Amino acid sequence: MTFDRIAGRRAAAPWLLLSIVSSNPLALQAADAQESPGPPKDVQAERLERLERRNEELERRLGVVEGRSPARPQEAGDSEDPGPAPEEEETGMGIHRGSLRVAFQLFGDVGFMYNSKPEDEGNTAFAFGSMDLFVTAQMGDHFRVLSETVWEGEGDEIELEQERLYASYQWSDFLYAKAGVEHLFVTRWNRLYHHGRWLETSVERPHLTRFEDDEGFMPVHFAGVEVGGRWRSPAGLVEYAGVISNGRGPTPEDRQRLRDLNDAKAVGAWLGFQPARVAGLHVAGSVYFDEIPGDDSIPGREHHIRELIASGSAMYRRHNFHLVGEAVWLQNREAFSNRGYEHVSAYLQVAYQVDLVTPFARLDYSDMENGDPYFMPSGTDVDRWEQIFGARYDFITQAALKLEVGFGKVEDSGTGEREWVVTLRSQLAWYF
Amino acid sequence: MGRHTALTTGLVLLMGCKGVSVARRAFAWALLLPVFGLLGAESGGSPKPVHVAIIVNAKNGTTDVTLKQLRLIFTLEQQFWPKSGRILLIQRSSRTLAGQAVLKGVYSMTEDQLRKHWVQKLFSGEIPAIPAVVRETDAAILSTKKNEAAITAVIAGELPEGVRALVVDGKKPGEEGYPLVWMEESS
Repeated sequence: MTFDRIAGRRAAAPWLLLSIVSSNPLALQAADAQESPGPPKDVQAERLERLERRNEELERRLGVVEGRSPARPQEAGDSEDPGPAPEEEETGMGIHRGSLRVAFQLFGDVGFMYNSKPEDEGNTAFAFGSMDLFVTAQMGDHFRVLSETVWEGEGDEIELEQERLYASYQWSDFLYAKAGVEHLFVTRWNRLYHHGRWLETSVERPHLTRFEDDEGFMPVHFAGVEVGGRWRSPAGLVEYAGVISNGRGPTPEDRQRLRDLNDAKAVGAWLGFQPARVAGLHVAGSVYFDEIPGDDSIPGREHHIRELIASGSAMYRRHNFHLVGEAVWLQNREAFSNRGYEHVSAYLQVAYQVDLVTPFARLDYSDMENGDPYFMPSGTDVDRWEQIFGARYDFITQAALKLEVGFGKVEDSGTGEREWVVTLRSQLAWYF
Repeated sequence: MGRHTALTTGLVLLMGCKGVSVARRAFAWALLLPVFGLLGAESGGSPKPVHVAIIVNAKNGTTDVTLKQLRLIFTLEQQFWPKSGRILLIQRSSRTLAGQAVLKGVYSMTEDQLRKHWVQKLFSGEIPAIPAVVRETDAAILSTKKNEAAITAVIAGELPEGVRALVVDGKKPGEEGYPLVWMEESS
């Protein structure tokens, strides 16, 4: 062995050791622990102080999460600043004080529309859309109030409507009760989206889900009491609800929110199911019965009408795919003649989200029997079918631009002839 | 320096040059070893599984859940514990590993889809408020420790007194077959 080789090995040994140690952090820490006698006392005190400060900060943030006012000594001042909240990506606005939690949200939309067969207006129009102020407040674990107030166009006027206002008490998952004005469960769409246009994929609502003052033929609102709950069975989640309410007024637009013209109350029951085996699927069905009061001022409407509605819905939402469909059967039986009028309406909408864009398509169909004394005066007994193709573009988290083209046939309420109608609708909808 | 470049250089040094002495080869190894170590640590090699624990307050009577039940709780389809009152869901930020794991493994939603889900739930009157989002693990654990009805997700590890991890689908975090596993590299 030459001197050169021996010297080379001697030179390489510390490098090897250094490389092994430096590539193994644990070894370094161990070495550090063995060699270091420990931090001096002033460093320990500083570290302890830092930890205490951090603990205080976490406690303060915890107070905000749990809705408690941050603990602070009386003599520390009277600042109302709750400190930095741990919440981020906050949606909507809210107040959180003790057991009171209030949440506000504002939905709005504006739009443009083209209609090839307008009734009393031009073919094209820009529109205000609507503005929806939503407030909900939870007091304690069980009691809650909710209000939804909407500004929307009626003709060329902008009107204010109190769409929902109720108080509810929830004992557990199994049982809740709510009293006031709420959307009826006979249409799934309305229970999901209410008046928030941003939540809806499309610009226009399906025919059977339209509101009473917007060519709708279904009861959408009720004033009364609803009791319901949900039960987790081995087969899936079962949801149930029952309602007793004032029912509808003499015309389909009359919601009877403030009074009831007869003592017969409307009753309904709803059952929903989310099977455990098929994630994302929700199916539901309902029945609803009402006795609609007569109206002497409308010829042919002197006697009350018994209304029976049966509806079913299916919704499947998984990853980017969304399918929703509903069908209703409605019968109005005129009490004096015992003549019944049957109406059927259904829609199926499918959407698939690709990044920020959601293309969608919908088939909307209504077969309304002519001569129904309840629908005829308002012209809501017209047959129609429409196909819609469109896309929704969520260009930012809280706003979406929607565009849809619809074509189909609508029955003329005067002549009874079916005419082709082409529509183009666009909408800019947002919430915050 | 790319990983392949370093590897090639190492191989050249070790095998390619016949005239290089053993000492110099060892010296070259000594230089390259930490480089390999650092590169290995940076790239992560194969994806590293990270178990995400679902933690509740120690006084909470619920000890084990199925993944399906967990989905009901995290979407607030189930809003009450059997014995501990209204569920306080503490969401984790999607910028945390636990938040990402819950988003994929429990919600099966994107961040925007989840936000829409909460707005819809709130608007339907089903929930009193959109659950708070917490980024810091310490704050999430502390909040769970202080509130009997709280539930949140954290990276599995040693937990302080006052909280415990739920058994999901019969498995504890760290056990083989535990369903809430996030591959760190895939993030």
